[in-house]
Amino acid sequence: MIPGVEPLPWDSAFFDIPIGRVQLDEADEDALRTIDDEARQLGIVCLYGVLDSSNVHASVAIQRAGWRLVDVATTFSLSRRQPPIPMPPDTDFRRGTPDDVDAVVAIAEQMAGWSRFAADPRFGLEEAKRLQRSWLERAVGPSEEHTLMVAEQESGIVALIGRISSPLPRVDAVGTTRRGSGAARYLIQGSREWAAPHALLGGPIASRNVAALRYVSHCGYRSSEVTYLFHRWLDEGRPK
Amino acid sequence: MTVTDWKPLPWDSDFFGFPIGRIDFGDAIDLAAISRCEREATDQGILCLYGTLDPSDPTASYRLQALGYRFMEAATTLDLQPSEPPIPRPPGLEVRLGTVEDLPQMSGLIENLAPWSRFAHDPRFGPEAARRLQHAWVERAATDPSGERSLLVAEAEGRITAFLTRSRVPVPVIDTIGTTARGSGDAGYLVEHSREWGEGTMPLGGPIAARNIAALRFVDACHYRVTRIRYLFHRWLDEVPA
Repeated sequence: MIPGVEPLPWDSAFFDIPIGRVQLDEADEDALRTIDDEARQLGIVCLYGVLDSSNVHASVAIQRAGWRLVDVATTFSLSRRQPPIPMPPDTDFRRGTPDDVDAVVAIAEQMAGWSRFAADPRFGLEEAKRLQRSWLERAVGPSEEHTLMVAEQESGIVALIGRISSPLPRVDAVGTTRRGSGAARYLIQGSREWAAPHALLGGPIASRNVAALRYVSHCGYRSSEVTYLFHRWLDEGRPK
Repeated sequence: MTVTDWKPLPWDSDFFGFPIGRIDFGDAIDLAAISRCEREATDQGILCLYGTLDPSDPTASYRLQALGYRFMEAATTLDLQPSEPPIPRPPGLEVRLGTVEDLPQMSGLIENLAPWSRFAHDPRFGPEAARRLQHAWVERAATDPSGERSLLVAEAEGRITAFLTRSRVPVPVIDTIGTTARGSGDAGYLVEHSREWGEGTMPLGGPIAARNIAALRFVDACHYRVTRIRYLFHRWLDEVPA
């Protein structure tokens, strides 16, 4: 028995396509057929499927049923026992505001290529960039749940991170124009204090994003969860 | 650069009992080249193609799946910088090359690795085939007369507590690690011991399945960092693409 299809109003409005999500753990051929039927009854055109990687044995049946894997997403955890990350000189750190958007939008857009939406040609890179800009606007808004932190040097903003407070404190994006400066790393150090008493989570990061994986390892993060993400386009029919 | 080509795999074909080949897509999808490779492979009686993709092009994996290539694994290769600190030797630990006589004692240890193989979750291979392959892999390292492959074991109080297999070709790489003594430092010391074996080249580690969190945490603790990702696919040429 697997949970039913959950419509996603925000995604549906943003992409202008009826979208839903379903958990695919333990899904077999019959369950996948039922999911298709249920989603079609709800008028859904695109389903996001989430499979915990411990249930990877289901992945071939899922692909045979017309689902396409779009990401292997890893979440990381930064133990409170890891040593502190040093503060770089001549750098200020503060919360991002709507006035910062123009200065950091290029950094945010660089991340779009690693999005699962860029991996699916029916969304594509431009939609992934649009989503990234929307994420940025939300992070600089009044919400305390999503926040943007920036690092500033004389030349301007050189690094940013996005933070989500619920259900557990997590850094969901890191970007920089000054690789190796330590500015982005120190934003993570600040977030460890923000996350206390919890360990700070990071990600999810696409498994193909080698630079990001090396970066979080360098910061002392360790893998904690891997999820397979699929898309199913219901207007493409069901394979025979 | 896109270079799509394929070749038959005699060892795999013999081991699994049916014709197998490998197709390498490079980092982008060339539909005409894939079609040619599949046609040639089919003409030569190949039943299953292993596919290897550099996933730098974000949409390449999606388009391969539409051609009937089933995503099996994100395979992670890791590197070690010479500047990383050494891993200490646990007290009383002995390290030596393993032999075929060690294999019965290591049987359970070897089988524990099989569920992480891509063969285990492709139902047309399955868990039993993955176990068989894991045993064959370690046996091949223990019996290789050329020394290109080798088995290294850690012993404490006369019992094997950890092992690794490694290969010098084409570059030094540690490709399998197992232990019965997690947290003891025994397996970590085998990694340390293999630094010198690389003769000036730090051995790579892996490939490790991106979903194998315990293995990735272990190699991270040994100061290894991700250096390359390849997406691995299986294409059964007797199946209609879905």
